[in-house]
Amino acid sequence: MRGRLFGKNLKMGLGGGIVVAAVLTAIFADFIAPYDPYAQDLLARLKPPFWSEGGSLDHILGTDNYGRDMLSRLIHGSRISILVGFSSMLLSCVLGSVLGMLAGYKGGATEQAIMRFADAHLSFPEILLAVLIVAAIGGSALNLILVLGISGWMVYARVTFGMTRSLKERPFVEASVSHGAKDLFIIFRHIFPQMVPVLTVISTLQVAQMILQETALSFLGLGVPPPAATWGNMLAEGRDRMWVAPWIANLSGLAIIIVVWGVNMLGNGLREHLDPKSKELA
Amino acid sequence: MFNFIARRILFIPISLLIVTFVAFVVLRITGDPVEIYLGIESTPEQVAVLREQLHLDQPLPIQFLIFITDVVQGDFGTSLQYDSPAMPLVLQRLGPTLQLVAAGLCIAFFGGVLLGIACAVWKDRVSDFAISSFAIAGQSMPSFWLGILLIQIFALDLKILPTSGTGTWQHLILPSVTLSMFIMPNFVLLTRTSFIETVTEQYVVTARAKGLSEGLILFKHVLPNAINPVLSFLGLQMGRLIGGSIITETIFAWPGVGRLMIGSIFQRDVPIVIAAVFVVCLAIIISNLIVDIFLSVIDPRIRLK
Repeated sequence: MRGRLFGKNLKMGLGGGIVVAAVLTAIFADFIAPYDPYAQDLLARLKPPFWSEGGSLDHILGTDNYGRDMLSRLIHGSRISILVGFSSMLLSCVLGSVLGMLAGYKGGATEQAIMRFADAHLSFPEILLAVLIVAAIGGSALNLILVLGISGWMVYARVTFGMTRSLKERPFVEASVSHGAKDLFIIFRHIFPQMVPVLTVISTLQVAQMILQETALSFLGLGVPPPAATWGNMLAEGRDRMWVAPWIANLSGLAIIIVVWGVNMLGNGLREHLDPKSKELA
Repeated sequence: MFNFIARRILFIPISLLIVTFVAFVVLRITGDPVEIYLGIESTPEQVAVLREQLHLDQPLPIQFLIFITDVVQGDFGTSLQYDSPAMPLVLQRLGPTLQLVAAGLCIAFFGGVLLGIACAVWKDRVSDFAISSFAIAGQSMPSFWLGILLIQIFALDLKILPTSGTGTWQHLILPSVTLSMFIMPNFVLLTRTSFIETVTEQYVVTARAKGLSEGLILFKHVLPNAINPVLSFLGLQMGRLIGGSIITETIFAWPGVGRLMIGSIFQRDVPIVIAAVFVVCLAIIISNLIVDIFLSVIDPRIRLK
């Protein structure tokens, strides 16, 4: 496998490093950013980054259409993406695992209701649901977390459902039942801990998806509305100015791909480490 | 087989009913459509008349029932922006979307499978490493940025392809490549894994022992077996591809259903949005059904129950 050329430790180190750096950037954005990301300086509009002609070290990555410093906006933009990415992942992980374990443990009508609903939801494109709901209730960080969290629960439900169904038959569960343990106790004390490795991998990879979805919604104009500094908003502004200021779109795109790639690397490394038998694509 | 298809077709109206209900409820809580229809200079009498016309004086469940009876007759209401029935407007835009999705699907599928086979054949060599790394980077690539990059390179710098819009076959290239990148990396990686697993099967060893050429083994013995997981994955990805067309159409000003839908959301044009959601979901359900039937036809091991 690719392992020989690009081992799991390198993947986890590189990916984890990028993720930690991104999270720290988001937390300490106020201290790192050289300028106020919302301060307009109309005399310094559309300055290119320092390496291209006309750029200067005052604004290392240039400025946008209102003379706002690109580097500061990129640093502050990480906040929304990281916050929405991790929180919506947590929401869908909790929602999906609880429903999946319930369906797997109870079986019967509960299973039919939950799993058929998951199948139906799975065939509905996430972005379509998100577009609909955000269009209705408006874009804010909280709304994005709710929408993305609710539209991503099915993966967890399917995985935990399958695992719970097979774990339920194992002797240690039987033993617990014969001791008179309650269903909820068995689920959280005996079944859930078995799934932690798999859930860690899925959750990590899902953070990458969530960040991509958040930036996509922002790009369509359905995220946290401007003038908020988000990577998707900046890309959308950059699209309208790509003839004169291509760096606005490209730098925002670069920021997105670096963070998402880091998260994906971390997830793939974790998978090889925790769950070596699984296939490349779940 | 027949039973399976019949049951799936029976489920289509139920799924569509749920989808329409969700869309209807979500869009009704957004605000009073009357204000948007009439503007600020309206008299209270005008408002009252329109409220009655649109059945807004009824409770929500009754409103939905009235709406559904209209929908069954093919009436999705009248568009606010264009002042004509919503469904025909959406159907007009279906052609360009299907064109884009079909082109994107072909590029993603054939490109992904070919690159995946290349990885598997030259496993652990430089080309494998390069292609797989590229595929993993592609999974992290925001496709809307890819679209913008392609426009910068091929339209603004090299000036060989148009930036956006529609008309000639050149207009189709950049949007369909952008759209294909939504799913192509997954196809590359899945094909690679599937081929690498299949070449260790005993019948491949037998074929090699018989002295068959490597090319013949690849296309007669490995390909038919290794392609199955890729094809079933295709069914799962149709929704993603159609969802991706919404973003792609917005980047390239492609006159399809997705762009109409996004534009209508900002205009609060509820009838168009509901009609568009309806059409998109129907397209996804039908394409999933086609993939499933196709799979069972080419692979008798998959029994449809």
